Amino acid sequence: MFKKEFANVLKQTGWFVAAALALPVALLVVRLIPRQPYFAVFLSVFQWGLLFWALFLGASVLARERSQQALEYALTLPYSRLGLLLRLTAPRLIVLGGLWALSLCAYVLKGNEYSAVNPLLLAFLYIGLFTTSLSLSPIIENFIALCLGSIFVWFLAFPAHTYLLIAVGWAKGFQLSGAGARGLGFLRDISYASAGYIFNLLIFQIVLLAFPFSAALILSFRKFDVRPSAAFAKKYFKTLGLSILIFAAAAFVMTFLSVSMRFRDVYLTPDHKVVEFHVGGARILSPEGIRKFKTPYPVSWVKSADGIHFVFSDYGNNLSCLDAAIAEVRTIYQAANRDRGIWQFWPYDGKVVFLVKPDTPIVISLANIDKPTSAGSNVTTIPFPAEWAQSEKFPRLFGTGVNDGRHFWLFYFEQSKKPPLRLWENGRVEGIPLSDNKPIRSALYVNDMVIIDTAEETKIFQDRGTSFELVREIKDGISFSLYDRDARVLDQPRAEVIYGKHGDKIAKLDLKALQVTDIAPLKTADGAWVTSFFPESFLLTEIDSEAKTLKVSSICDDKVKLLTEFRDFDFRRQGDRFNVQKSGIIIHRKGTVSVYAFPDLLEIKF
Amino acid sequence: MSDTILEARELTVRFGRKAAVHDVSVAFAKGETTVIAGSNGAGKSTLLRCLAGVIVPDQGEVALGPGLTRDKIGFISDRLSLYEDWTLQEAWRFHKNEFRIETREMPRIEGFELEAGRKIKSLSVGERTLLHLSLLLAQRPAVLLVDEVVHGLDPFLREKFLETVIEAMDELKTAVIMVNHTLSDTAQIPERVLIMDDGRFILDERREELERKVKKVSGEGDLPPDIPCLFATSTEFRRDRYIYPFREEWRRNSAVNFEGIGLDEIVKAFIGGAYVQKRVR
Repeated sequence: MFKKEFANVLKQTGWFVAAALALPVALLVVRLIPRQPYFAVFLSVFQWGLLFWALFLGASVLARERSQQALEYALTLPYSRLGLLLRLTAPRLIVLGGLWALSLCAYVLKGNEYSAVNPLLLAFLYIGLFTTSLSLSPIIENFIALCLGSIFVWFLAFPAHTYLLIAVGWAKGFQLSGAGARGLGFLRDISYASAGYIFNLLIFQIVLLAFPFSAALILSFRKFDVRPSAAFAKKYFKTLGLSILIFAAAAFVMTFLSVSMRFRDVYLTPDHKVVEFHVGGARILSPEGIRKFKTPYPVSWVKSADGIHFVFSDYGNNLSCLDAAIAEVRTIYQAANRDRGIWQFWPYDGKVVFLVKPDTPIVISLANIDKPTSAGSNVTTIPFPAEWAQSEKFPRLFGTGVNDGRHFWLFYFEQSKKPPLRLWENGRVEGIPLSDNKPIRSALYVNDMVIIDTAEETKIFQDRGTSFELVREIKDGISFSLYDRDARVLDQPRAEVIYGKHGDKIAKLDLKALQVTDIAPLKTADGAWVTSFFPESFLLTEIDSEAKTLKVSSICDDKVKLLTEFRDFDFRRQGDRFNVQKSGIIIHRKGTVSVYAFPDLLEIKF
Repeated sequence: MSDTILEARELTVRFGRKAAVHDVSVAFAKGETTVIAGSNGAGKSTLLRCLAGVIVPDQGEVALGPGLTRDKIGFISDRLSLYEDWTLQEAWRFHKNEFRIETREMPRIEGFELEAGRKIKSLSVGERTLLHLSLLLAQRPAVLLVDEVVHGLDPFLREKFLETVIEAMDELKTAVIMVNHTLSDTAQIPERVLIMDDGRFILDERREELERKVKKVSGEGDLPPDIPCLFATSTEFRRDRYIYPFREEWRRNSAVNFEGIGLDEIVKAFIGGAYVQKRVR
């Protein structure tokens, strides 16, 4: 039986493969799609066509027996019902697995080049669709009805997963009413952030779909016979209902446990209070005790304004500020329309600049941290240039200033070929002329100069008030990297030197002579960052994955001095990370958080 | 029965709300030949399919006797189910592999030859029936279930079929359970007669016993009131009454002429009586 079925499935699959090979030719010849390499089209056709083939393979498991009046004969063969099901299903699984393996090989060879979908993600969808159609095949005799029914049920897994996340959110105590679609987006975000895409696909295609439908089929198929399918359907649906309940409960528990409520953003204030944020709120730890704050909506992003004020956006599209000095939370901005999200925000100098999306054009707004506002009041808005609004990359604010009494803000788009721009408060836009459109890795505004790092070179532009003039290009093939983990250069500091990375060395950029001088080699290849709190201090953090250490050094007077070394820190381990702040260093290591205060980097414990 | 080979225990099979087989229990002995007869829709084919494993009963079970395995049960259904796009050769090869038959060549029925390359869908009903029988006999079945296929065969093939079945009974001691309406050709084959009506058995007797217990009275004369009449037919020219269960003493004590009748007519009488009962209900 197995051999016969395998031969039969292979013969049918040959048609699928032939169609997948021929269709791209037809699409390209007839010019239904833009000109592109054949393999690119074939890969897409094959990957997405395999979804339909998975559906067909599951749905066809009894099709031949029914269409050729052979079902009675098949049921008299000398094996159990499950034995028969296995012999009919195994060849289909093998062929589906083989086709998936082919798509994986193609992806590994050329996929990234042609923006193909990761086959691992698609594998879950194939399994979900195959098991659904396989499971429904004994109860739906009409092939077209079976295919349509399977697709419908498969799509039901999407809202099922959403409702599961809502249930988890409710169990975790989140308030989602009023958050609308963004509330659901939050739930997806938090689940994906905590557990990852693979886990979530596992939940909604395997635990919520494939497992219950497979269980229902396996448990009820021993009752399958030649009577009209309605007789078997009753038994099947009873088993399916129970399976769905059991696996939904399992999915709930798995998701509940995976959604992390750990404090993910931790800050140290100058007076050595520890401020912690998680999705449901915040708390301040001090020698006097713990003060907790429950936010009305789940917290999305947090940024420290000055080490005492912490600005955060939430999924209710509000912008709020936690004042650690007086232990108070106040709302800075409340979106009038819940569908308009706080896209990006940057606090500086008692203010916060933020972008609201979707807006056409995107509006850049300015609010005061100390003055609570309702939507529209006490908020200055400037339209963001339309052509930049279409950019798919995030804009980064890297500098601000005042010229002739008018404020301006400097933006660049990370890893984008779009040139940086200066946006004036009267709406005027000024481009910074990067002549070669290379992607920007980082940018800095200091001493009335814009310093741009494009990975291969560094360009320095002098701000002339109404335009920028290129004054220096450092083109030795390695750029001077200004990237640091928490940009704190929006307050227009002045400095004589800044330190950064120059390839595999620590280097100094003299801001008068505009010269780069290497001062010390970087000892580890795994990762090194220069964090600047200029003009006072520069810190170098280096990780060594082999030794599992994190070293923190100060850079001063062209010398690198080791301050401390943290052991058992594994950057490759999920959850291990560090954050260098003006008051100290926060280490997340093996699920615990430790706070070390400058200048001695002694651990803060309460 | 100590030599029971197959047993149905409290079987109930429903099609929707209607019970096609209702709480039926019956045991079949090794080598026994049984005919199951009854009106249309009585549940005969459903019962046979339960015994073959093609239908899973809603209640009750089918128990296999000691040493009997599923591969030793052969079932020829009235649908003559086989993969229609196969050739005879492919069908034989598949059947041989699945049932682990050691014979290399498909057993032939004497006087009945088919080309191995012919497709099953091109065979006539009679040819398919004999092909089925050939395949099943290659399994050397201990039980052969035959569902209303005999009446569809022409006289030549019917004779071939019955001869082959009888040979199997003699050689393999196969228990044969046959659903049949017309018993004119097969009246001498069964040892046991079961009659079903409305999902239940209304008769379960040995053939000889049955032939002894059922008599016919023809003519207009009245019957003594204590003689049970199973069924009566009446036309302008003829009146027949079927007596069951007959007692020999009635022959001595009354002037009525009690005729012996064949199995075919006995079954007809029971089925007729069942229809009468339904009308009365």
